[in-house]
Amino acid sequence: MKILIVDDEKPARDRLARMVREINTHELVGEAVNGLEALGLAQSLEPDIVLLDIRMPGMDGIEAARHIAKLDEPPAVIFTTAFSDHALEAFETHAVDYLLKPVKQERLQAALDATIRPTRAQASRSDDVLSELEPRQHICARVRGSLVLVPIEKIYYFRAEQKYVTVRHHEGEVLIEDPLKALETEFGDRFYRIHRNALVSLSRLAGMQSENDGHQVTFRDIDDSLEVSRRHLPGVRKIIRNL
Amino acid sequence: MPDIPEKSITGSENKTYLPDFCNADAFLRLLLVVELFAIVFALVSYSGGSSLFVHIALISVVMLWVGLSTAAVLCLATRHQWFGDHLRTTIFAISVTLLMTLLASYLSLGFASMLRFGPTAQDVGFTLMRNLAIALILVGLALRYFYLHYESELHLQVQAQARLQALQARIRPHFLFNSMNTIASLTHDQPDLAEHAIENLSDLFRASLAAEASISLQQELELTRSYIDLEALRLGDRLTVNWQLPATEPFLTLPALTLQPLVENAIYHGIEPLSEGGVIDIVITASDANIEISISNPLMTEQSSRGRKGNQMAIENIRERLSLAFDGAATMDLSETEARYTVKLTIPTAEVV
Repeated sequence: MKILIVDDEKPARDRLARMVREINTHELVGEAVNGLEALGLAQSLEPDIVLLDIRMPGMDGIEAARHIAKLDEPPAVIFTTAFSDHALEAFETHAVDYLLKPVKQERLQAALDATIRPTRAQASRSDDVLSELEPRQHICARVRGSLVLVPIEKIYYFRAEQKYVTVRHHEGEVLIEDPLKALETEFGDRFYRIHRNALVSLSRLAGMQSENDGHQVTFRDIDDSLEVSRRHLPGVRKIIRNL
Repeated sequence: MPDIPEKSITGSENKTYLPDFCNADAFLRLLLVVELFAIVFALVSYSGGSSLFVHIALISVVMLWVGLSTAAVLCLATRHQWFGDHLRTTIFAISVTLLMTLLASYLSLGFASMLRFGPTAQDVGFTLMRNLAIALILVGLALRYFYLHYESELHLQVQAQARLQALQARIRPHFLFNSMNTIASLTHDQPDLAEHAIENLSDLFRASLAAEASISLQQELELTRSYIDLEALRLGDRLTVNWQLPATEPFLTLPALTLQPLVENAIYHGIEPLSEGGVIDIVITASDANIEISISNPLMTEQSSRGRKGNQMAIENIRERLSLAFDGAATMDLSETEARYTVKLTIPTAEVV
């Protein structure tokens, strides 16, 4: 199996790399120093297993794992961490495995041998487990076969269409498959629902205008406007007043 | 971390729960309380007849005499360490009080009959019994009070000690296991570095497990350097530390592990969350009166700081230990300027820890 190692500390990468090389049945295909790089390499190198450190600068391991779970053919993720804080207890009952550093050779071998690449359905289940931990810092979308990451703070709104959700950000739009309901749960403290089909960023909201019986919210820096439903009007009014 | 066998925290080998009656302060307070009780008794027992003030005066003389002489004997007893355990102390104190009461009552009765006033002969027995009963109740109350006071003081001491120990044992588990992992990695490729790392880790743990509360600034700086060396192995070129020390290292004693946790905080909050790393400045300046130590790190942005909280605890603990060690004369200032977070300690040089 092809293995990708992700850790921000060089000695930690070196050690895992050496241990993986000592196991003949597995092949080390690459190393990444943070979650962002891991996501890129997970696509280009197509590893079967990612050994993923949790605490890393930039994008941490938990978030990286959630984006990785959304790949077409997601690799299996095994977390490595120095200390089992309570976040890890959540994994114990689920498919995601984890190793404590310093990792023992037998333990690593056992974990690698036991790992089978998850199906997409299995991967998205592990995303569900991880999503309970902390909201992501990025939205990950696929554009013409490659991944595009949009930082949450650059997003103006999410708008649900038939099958997809449009993510409007500072440089354009991308489509994602996450249901709007799940996005609302995850980013509820930064986004507000103004309509059955739309969530808007509280920090990007500029104001509200009314036109022929309807109400629309407007945004800073862009000309888009979105319709506010009657049901959500009082709540939106209150937010606009407090801007 | 294992519990450290405690040295006797209480120091109770030759300490009683009684206050030190040789101390003028305690002595005066005792006199005041006795006099107040004398006035209460005089007012209660006064039934007209002779002047109220004479009545108060007579009772005061007897009670003060008992109080003074008892305190004097207890002072002597403390000096010569006649007390054993709490039971013996209690029996001793009660006996002395009763004896002094008996003596004072006899003398006052004799004095009164000589002057042809006061109780008649058949009342003598009753008066003696009454005085002894009053004395017994009062000394009982007083001893109970002293004991409770002693106990609560002891409790506070034990609490403070426990907190200090918990604090010194406070090494982030992440730091320990990451260091272990680094060492495990180096053992193979660079055994010399691994050996050095183990030495540094040992120094840090020795200091955090040691009972001794204070060390010299030089020792503390060495510990801090050991710590930084360990982190440098792990973080590589992401960590840069700028030292600015005075030409001659000033002499100063301070609570062990005062600086190291501050640098640990700086790395944990200021360097680790940054992919590109950053610079930590450690500046020490000495003037005649003070030594200033400032530690600054890049200020994290909201995004990079996620999942990293709780440095306030360490800060408060260090503040408390400094305050204990320097009687409140040392200060700790936290400030944020532009993109940096700075902790500044100002410690008086004159003070002895």
